[in-house]
Amino acid sequence: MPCPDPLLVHAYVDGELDAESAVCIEQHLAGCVACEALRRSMESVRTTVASEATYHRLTPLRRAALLGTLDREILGTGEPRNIRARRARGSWQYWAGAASGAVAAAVVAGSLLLLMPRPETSAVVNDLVGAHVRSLLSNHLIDVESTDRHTVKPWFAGHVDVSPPVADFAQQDYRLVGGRVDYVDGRRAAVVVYRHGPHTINVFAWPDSGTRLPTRIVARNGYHLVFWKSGSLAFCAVSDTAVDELLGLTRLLEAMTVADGQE
Amino acid sequence: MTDKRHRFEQEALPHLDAAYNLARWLCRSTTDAEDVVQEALLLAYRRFDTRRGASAKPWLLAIVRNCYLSSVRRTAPRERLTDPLAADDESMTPRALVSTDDPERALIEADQARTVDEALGLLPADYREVLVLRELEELSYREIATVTGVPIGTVMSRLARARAALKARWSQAVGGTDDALP
Repeated sequence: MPCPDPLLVHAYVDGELDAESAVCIEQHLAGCVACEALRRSMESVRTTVASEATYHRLTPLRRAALLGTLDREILGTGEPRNIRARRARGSWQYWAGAASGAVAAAVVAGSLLLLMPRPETSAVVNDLVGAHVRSLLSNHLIDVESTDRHTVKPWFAGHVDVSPPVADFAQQDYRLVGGRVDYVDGRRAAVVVYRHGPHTINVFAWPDSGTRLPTRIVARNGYHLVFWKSGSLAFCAVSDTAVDELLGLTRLLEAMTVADGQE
Repeated sequence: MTDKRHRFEQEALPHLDAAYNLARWLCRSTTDAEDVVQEALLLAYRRFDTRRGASAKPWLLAIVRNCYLSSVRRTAPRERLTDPLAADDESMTPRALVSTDDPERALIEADQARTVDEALGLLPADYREVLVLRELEELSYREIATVTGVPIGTVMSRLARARAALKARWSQAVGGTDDALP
């Protein structure tokens, strides 16, 4: 059997051949040193690139800024036709106001702000997404770093008015990494920070003032928020994980607060 | 949240990392890649309703690629002529993507990355592109053809040349034999 076109060897390596052609190539490879060498060589290029080349990802800050720009686009005109038309609108100028400073930092900060003001969306969602994004910048994630609930819980007592449930769910892959104090809805909130795989989950707790929470699950800018109330506290878990993974943690916490209440 | 916004978040935004990864490998610069992705994201949202059939990932990546080409045309209107390496399909490829890179400059620009990153970064843009789409994004030949706007046959020959070129660069970089790539 004559050697096939080398491109077919690549197609074989890439799994692009139908079963019949693949069998033909396999039979040829078994008896042809040159083609088999090509196959091995290209297979190794393939696996090396796939495993060692960097997969570039956006930083959380840049991701937030990008999605903020998208927000601005959508909010500016609803369904904008082109950039020129959008710029002519007053609302554009309003949104752009925050970013009008010439320095890049101001632009980024402006974009972050733009995550927030969306009239029909509850201010608390904006607060929470903003706080979550800011927390992912270094330095701001954790005030007290510990995997021990007996360290984190007393720390809250000294820094904030609420005492949220704190537990390490490492067995369920929700690792406790620490806590911090943040601001939500104009008041101090306790934040318990978990890691789930590569994701950070912030669980905010603040005194329930009786205001209605948004719906239980809110998706915003690629982040998910899960809200619940328990006892005298309102809670929200925020992350970029899938909703069911986020719900996994919130169910564990809800179960805990129920148990706490019975103590 | 409007319905369009919601669908866009569900269908297109999951591929935001892929969009950035492609832009970053094409631009070889973080800031340029961010600009390209931002432009692509806004364009994608505007065109979202007119998208026909195509699955979201290749559709979005094709927009990223076009935004990259526009940005190159804006900043470097006079591209040098094409590199012989890409001669097989230059007629099908926008000039800005074809092999005009100065290897020395690319070498200086290269991050202090692992060798595979460096070798990949040194390849002409059209080779980088096809390798990123195939090996990192795991697109099929057909999807790569959608992104790059060339026939599948061209995708196949370009991919084969890109792999051979990468292997050669890598061997060169480590000063080893042809078998150096594990």
